[in-house]
Amino acid sequence: MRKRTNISIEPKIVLIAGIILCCLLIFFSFRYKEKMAPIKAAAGNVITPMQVGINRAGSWISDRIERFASVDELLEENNRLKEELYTLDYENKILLQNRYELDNFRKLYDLDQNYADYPKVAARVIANDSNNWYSNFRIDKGSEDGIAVDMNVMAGNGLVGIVTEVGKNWARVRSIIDDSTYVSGMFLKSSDTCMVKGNLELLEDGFIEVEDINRDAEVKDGYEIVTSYLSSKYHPGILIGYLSNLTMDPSNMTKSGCLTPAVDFSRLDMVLIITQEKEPLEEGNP
Amino acid sequence: MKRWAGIFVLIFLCYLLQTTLLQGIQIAGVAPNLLMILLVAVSYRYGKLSGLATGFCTGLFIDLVEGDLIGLYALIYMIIGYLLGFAHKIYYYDDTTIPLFLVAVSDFLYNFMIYVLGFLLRNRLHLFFYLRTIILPELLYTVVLSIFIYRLLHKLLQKLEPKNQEEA
Repeated sequence: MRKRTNISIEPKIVLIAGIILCCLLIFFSFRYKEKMAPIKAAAGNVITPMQVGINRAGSWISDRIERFASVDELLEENNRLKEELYTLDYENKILLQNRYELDNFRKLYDLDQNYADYPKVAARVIANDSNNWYSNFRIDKGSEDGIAVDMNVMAGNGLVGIVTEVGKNWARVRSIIDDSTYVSGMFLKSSDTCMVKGNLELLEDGFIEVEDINRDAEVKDGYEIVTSYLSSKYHPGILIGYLSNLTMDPSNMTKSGCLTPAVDFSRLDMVLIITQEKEPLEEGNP
Repeated sequence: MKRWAGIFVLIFLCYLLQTTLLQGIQIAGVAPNLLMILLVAVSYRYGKLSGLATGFCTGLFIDLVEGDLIGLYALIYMIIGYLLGFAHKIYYYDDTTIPLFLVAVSDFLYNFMIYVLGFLLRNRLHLFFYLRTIILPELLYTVVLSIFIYRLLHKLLQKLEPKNQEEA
């Protein structure tokens, strides 16, 4: 300690050295992404158990507080839910009947793999990014639970995002509302394709962007957009959200609009990961 | 040495809290930046070199855990740490208003750099929108948080110093 104080280094020189070091690091991590992955995985393995711990403590406390605050609310909600249950029960019976019919049709079309049949793993969201610009988050399941990069992530019945990094006991997910995400989508009713883009500006009103809709596409506000068959990473047919504000682009060739995501991203707690990756096209699967 | 080990542990703790607890108390969609408060506390107290090193460690840590490129946040935090070090000249151990001002400036600088590097370069031109929805709310929230946290961090840093220096 004493010795070090005797050597006086000009801070400016250290700054310049540091900037050069950072630039080199950026360059190398950009160029050799795969080689950096083990280092990042190790860092994640260390930090994840602690984030899980803090989260558990935090949610325990907020649970306690909420329990006291909301007994009345819960009673009211309980009554409402009971009523809802009756109606849903009835609807469910009708749907079940429809399902038999649907199964038959599927067999006819040879389309037996609906996304409901994919193997899924549930995981808890344990941490967000440290800044407010991007929408990535960390989940508490990793390669030990069979999760790999490029697996699709869902919550409820909608698409949340895609796994971008995996460690032993954690994985990082980039959500579809992130400003740098693209998802290739398709209208469920008319099979017209489109691009779904995350957009921080529209997100303030709860939307993300939809682009490249064919001008002749017969679509209207409120139509469902699902992941398309064209996508190389996403399984087809997962609900992304609903179209609104459809307008013709200035070029008069394409239309664009806004999309209301099917998932409420502000209170994402549990997610489902489809542990089956989309097969590459080379294998020649239909 | 004890000081550096302590600062390292503090970076670690602040990061953990930032990604978990502070995300739970978001207001208007933004969470405060605890790591920036720590960086201000260290740089203001110890000067350019320490600020630079702390900034680099903080940024590198973020890069390793959540960044797409390693070195980007390290660069941003390091430059801010260095600039904050200039304020060491007017350091006074009991002052709590200058640190608030420093937190505001550095948090603005930090988010502005992220905007330029991550958004402006991708043709997102509406600076005022981002100012209104992210940069300024985060700045305000972080400053408010630093009213409470800065003293605490400052005390902790003081505890980490060797005894003989404290008396001098």
